[in-house]
Amino acid sequence: MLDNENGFSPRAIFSRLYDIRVLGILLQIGFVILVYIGASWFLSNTAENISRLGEAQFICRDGTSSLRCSFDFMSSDAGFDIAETALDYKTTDSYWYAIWIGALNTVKVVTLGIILATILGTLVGIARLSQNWLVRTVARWYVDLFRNTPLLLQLVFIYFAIFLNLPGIREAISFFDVVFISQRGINYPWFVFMPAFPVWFAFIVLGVIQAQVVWVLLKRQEEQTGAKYNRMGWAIFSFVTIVFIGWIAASKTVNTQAIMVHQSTRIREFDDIEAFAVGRFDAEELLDIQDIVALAEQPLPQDDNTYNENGYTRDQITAAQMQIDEGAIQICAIREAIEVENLTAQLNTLGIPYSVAYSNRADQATEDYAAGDCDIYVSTLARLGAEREQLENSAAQRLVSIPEVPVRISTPRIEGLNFVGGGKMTPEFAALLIGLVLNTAANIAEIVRAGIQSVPKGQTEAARALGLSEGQRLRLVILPQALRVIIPPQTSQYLNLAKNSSLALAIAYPDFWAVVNTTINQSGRSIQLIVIVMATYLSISISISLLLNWYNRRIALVER
Amino acid sequence: MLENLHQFLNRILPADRQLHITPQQFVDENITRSWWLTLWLLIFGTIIFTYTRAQLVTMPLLTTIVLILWAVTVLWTAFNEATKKHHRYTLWLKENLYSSINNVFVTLFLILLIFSTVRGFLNYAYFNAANSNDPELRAALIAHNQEIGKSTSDFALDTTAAFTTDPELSRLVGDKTDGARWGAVRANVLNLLLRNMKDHTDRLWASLAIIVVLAVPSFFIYRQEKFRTSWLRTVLTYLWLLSPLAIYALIRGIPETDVQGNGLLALGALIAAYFLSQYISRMEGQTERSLLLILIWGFAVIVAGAMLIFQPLSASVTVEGSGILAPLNPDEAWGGFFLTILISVFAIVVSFPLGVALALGRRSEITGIPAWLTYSLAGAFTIYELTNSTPRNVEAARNSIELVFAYWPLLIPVIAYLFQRIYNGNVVAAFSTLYIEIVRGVPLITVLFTSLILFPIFLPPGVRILNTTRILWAFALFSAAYLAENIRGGLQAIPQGQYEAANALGLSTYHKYRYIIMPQALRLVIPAIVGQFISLFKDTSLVSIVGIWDILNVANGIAAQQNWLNVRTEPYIFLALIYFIGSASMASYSRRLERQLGVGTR
Repeated sequence: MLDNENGFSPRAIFSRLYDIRVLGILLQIGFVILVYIGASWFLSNTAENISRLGEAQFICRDGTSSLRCSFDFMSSDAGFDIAETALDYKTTDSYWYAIWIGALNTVKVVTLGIILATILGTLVGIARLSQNWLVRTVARWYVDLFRNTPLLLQLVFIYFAIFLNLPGIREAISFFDVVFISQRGINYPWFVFMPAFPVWFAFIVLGVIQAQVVWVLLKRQEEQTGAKYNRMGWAIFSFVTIVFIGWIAASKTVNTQAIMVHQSTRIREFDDIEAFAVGRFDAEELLDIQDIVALAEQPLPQDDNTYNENGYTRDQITAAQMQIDEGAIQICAIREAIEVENLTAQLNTLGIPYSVAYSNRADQATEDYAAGDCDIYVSTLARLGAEREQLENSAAQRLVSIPEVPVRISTPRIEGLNFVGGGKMTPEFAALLIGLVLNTAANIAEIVRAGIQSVPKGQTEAARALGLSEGQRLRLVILPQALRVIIPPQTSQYLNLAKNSSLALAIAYPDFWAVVNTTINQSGRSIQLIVIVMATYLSISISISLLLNWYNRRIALVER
Repeated sequence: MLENLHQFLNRILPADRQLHITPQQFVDENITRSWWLTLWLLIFGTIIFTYTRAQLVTMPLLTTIVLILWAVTVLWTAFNEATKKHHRYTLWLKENLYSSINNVFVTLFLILLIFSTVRGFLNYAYFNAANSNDPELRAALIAHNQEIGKSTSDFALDTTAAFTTDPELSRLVGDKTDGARWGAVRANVLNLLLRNMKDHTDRLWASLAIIVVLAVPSFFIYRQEKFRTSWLRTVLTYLWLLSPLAIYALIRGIPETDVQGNGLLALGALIAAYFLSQYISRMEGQTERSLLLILIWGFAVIVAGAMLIFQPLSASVTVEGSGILAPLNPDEAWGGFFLTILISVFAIVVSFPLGVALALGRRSEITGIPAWLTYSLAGAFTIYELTNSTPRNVEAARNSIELVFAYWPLLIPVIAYLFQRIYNGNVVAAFSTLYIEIVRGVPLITVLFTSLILFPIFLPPGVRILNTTRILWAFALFSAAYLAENIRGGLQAIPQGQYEAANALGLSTYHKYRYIIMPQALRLVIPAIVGQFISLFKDTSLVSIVGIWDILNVANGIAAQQNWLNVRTEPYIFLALIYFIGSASMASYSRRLERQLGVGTR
């Protein structure tokens, strides 16, 4: 001690150096310097490697090379196809957009997966504690099987060994003729939202509010008077009543607004007829048929070498006119191939409202089309344009009103070589979803079981002694205590599910990571893309883990 | 009517077996207690009835037996319950299978479900399975195809057709096309387990021999108290530490290397210094000991450095293994389940010390870099960058995003502030936390891709690291982050009093953690750590996506073989079995270890 105080004896300096704090700080500074040297060594290697590769990684649009342009390539055409897209996607869209489509696919599978895994996991977790020995045992087998084999193996098993070995569409396994499972995925009934839906939706929201109000009012009444009401029953009753009234009202509204609704429907119809034919038979020529019609109707210039007032040559215009003829032939071919007796019904299954009694000219086009009469259709092409203009002019409309419901249910049916109507899951999506859900649910089941078991038995007994009902016991005593144990690991299971969805690559589902991987292979820009991937995943997980830490701090038991 | 039934039954029953519950009571309590219970029982009963009828059609005999057994046991239990005289069995049945009407239905449903599943699986896996051996089947198929005039290349696509058309062949393969084709697994079992290592089984046996030779004496020496201070134990420990090197030399072989005399001497100096310092650390006197240690290590480092830099000796030997030690290329030789095991063991062994270090690092509370130093450095750096790079970038910016990014140096003070605010300037804690959170935040598959695609870009040109090596390290580094969090959980669970008691005893930081904190913390987190190891073991299957030939990739490859085109189910089932046995045995070992160490009881 004395030595330390009187300054500069060698012993004092030695012991000052030996002070753990000083040593620690020196070591930390040394560590930082070491990390810096290491990082700059890596970076210099990178620079050297890149210069050796000709700096192709960082080429700008104008041909120069700069680090600033690392991400420029992302705006160029992706060029690859994505099998499953939530939004419209063409190969000429940018890499950014392609990756966004992939991210949406990930979001889709993760959201659905989390919901389903939570439901299944909770059920299995409760089943693990069931009174019935068989239920307990089966639940344990399920959990053991899925927790002790790799997720990737489960995914490839479900996809390759189960889904791809399923029968084809004709022999699809059907459940009550509404759900079909085949090699091409799962087809199931799904809603078609009609133009009247928004009105009904407003009523649903109203119903939820009303149920809340009823609940709160009855509760207040209960607290004041001590009388017991069936709160849940009344709340559900008021909700159902309002939704029911809404259903009728929405259908009525549409009747009174028939002309307006109908106009937009009718305009959509023309687009849909085209898109329908195009989507079915890849007749890409039809895509820009409006443009071609416009071009074909251009006034011809005087001779071959001059332009007309809009800047088109004679060649271009005649080519467009010829294309219309070819397009007509193509449509004719399509009409024969489809072999639809009733196009109206066909469109109906696609979710295009069509059960309408047309009374005026607008009808003519549809009938012509449905009749499959090519000559008439060619003449109709121009007429469609004119009619469309007329439709957009609301003053010119006298359409019959349509009785319509807010939501229809469309059931899948086999039409030709494919399913029509309803919702559809591709085998890739279905396999990924099922694999993720089964695997995560097994883990969640264990978490739920541990959570429920962590509540001491005395709590249950105390609740019974207080005379609480089974529901009250679960809701007011067991769950709040079990949730404290359940929620943190549950959240990390959700995170795991999100991260595990990247295994989609193995079964060719185009999720975020699979699209990025294709982009890497195609563009060769691995550094930039890995940066994007890491940034995306990190921002998601760090935000969730911050949330979790906050929650954890809130519910943790405080020691001393 | 129910009342009459009750009276009638009680009349015919002996006096000591009277019914204590009337049928009316029974119905009131169990069926009509509430309207939704009745409704539910009706719906559920209908479902069970429909299902049972369907089962009766598919497997009449089994279903009938099950139904009779079910009915008899239900009635027996109900009767005993009503007369309040339970047999041992009916008590168990009542508590575990027939506790309510609902459960009675559930039990029947589950029994039928289990029976039909087991029956389906047995039909697939055994009764309908094609049990013939591969070469036999192949020869027969070729002969059959020649007979019916097909070329041999066609037949692979048409095995199923061949199975059914030829009665002789049907007999050979078991006549079953919808059953399992275990031949795919049987023919490839060595491929699946070892892949190319199957040509080098002698090396594997030798490795196994090393482990066994060490394990047998360990069994006695580490267990028995009389060897506690014996030199035998020290020697054995060193041998264990050296054994990975020997095994590595065996499975990798010894590639051609020039062993320099200088290098050997340098190594010798360091080893000598290590043993000397071991000896010195038992001496008395703090200051003298430290000085001596510094002297010895300084000398050793100088000698080693001089040897490496000035290279005074010219002697060198070229070494290359031959025979059992001949060099192998791991990227080609290692594969199958062998590689799976290798990755798991390597990652477990390497990630454990790393994980402990990261966990301690994240919790470290050493005095950090002082705030004045951080802030002044950050300020200087910010000003330097703002005056140098920012104007250049602002000028060159092509859009508003790049314009914003040009002002990136403004982030430096923010980071410095956060660093001081959250970590008090503690570099160790900051680094550990950052590492753990980043690694835990990204999927393993992206880490594997990074190590394969991106990592070579960071290396000096010309330097190549084997894919297998990179994957091994990627797994170890990835797993370390997860392990660190598990261990940190254990450290957090140690009461503050333990730290204080250790401090009060005057233990050094090292001794405090070595003898007080770590043993307790690790004991607490054994389940979590084993769970982590199990998930690591399962995650090794991911390497198949990046093109490493692990067992899953080999199994996928079977489907492309001529004889077993598109046969995937059987290899996958085999894999699932292997993985299941591996993981389940680890889990049960962990449970046993838990019991032995008394987690949660002390």
